[in-house]
Amino acid sequence: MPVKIVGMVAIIASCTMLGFELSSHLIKRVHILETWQQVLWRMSGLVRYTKTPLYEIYEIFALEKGEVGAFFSSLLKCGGENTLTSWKKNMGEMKWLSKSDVEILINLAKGLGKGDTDTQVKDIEFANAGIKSALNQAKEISSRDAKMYRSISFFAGVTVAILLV
Amino acid sequence: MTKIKMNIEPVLRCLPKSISAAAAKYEATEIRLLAGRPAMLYTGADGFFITSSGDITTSEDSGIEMTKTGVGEVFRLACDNSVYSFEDEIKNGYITIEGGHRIGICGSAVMKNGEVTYIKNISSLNIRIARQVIGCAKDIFPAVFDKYVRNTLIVSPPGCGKTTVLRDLARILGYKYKVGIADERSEIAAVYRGTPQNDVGLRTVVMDACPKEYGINMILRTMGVDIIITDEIGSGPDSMAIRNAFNAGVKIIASAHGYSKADVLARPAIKELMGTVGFERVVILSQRNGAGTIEEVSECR
Repeated sequence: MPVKIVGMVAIIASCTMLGFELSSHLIKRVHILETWQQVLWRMSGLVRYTKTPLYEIYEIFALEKGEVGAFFSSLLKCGGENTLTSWKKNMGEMKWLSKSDVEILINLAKGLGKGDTDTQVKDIEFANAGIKSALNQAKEISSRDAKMYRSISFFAGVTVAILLV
Repeated sequence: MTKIKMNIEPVLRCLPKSISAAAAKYEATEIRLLAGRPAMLYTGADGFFITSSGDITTSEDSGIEMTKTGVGEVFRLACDNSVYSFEDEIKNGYITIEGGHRIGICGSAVMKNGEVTYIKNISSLNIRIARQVIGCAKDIFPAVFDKYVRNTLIVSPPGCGKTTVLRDLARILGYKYKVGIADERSEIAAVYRGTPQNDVGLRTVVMDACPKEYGINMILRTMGVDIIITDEIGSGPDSMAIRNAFNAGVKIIASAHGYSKADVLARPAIKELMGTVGFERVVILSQRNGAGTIEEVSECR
């Protein structure tokens, strides 16, 4: 009997953890997109008003906490590498983002550093508009699904445990 | 005794391997990269084509041909992947990179309100390797400093070392006096991201990439300098600013294009700066015995 109880608890715990993991994924995506929104907003100011070069921009944002800061720290190690190549290479830091979120950032990297100030600012603002709409969508999904994942996973765990007993 | 000071590394890291190898090996003074034509390297007045093995040749057919993408890639690297941060320089047709090296640019100009705002489709680059000739102003120094610093105008045709001499004068004087450089085209101090790449003296301040008339007035009002050094004067606004400096008791050492004193005096904007409260001496330079040969030193008072 004690073995059965331990087994049931283990099943319920793992299913619940899986649900929490899925829900934290959604919440993390929201946080990262919020950070990107701030970063891009500040980046457009740095380009527009002080024409700060990309390397110095990376240095500034490398001080950000979390995944976005880690992403910019990695870019600093890429030296004279092409912007697109280095961004693509370090997108691993952005594993919480969806494919379409990453696509927005990669599209920004395609032209980043290559044109005049007006073009750069427009590109950054365009990317930020994309991030903003992705953020709204992520918030909606998160508020709708995060709680659901947690409760479903718990009840799924209980169901599986009962069935096995 | 003169000493050449040069940091070619920032140029080499922008270039394709073979061109970079040739530039380092043959001490290039100039590298010309034109889309669709072979890459060229100059050592002084002599031009050579660069081969794929990193050597030089006089045979055009053995030279490696530059593609438009290749030229663009060199330009991107020269701009540190941030072309927009060089925009103000690009619209003047050049950029100055780390080490003070000047890269001339040709392509299609983008116009707005009758002014060039950008150059797109960049297809030609001319990289001039910057060298600071330490000690090259020692011959001219007695003409500039005789008991005290004299208001001096250095005159020569292009390529005779006016800017090199001005730079060395700034270095020498900047170790004793408070010197300000109004460096409109970043040629004297070669400022890169706010830092002079050339040794221009301990007490020297530089107003970089700013039209001379503004640069001189700003230095005059705010930096409390004894001497202002500036390059290639000649326009009316330049004269106004220089006259302000004379009136404030600040010494001016400047250069102008010309072949003789009569040549520069024929230009009204310069002529009005001569006399009792203006330039005291005119020094004519030539290339007769190498760049910076002093042909004449004449008094103006």
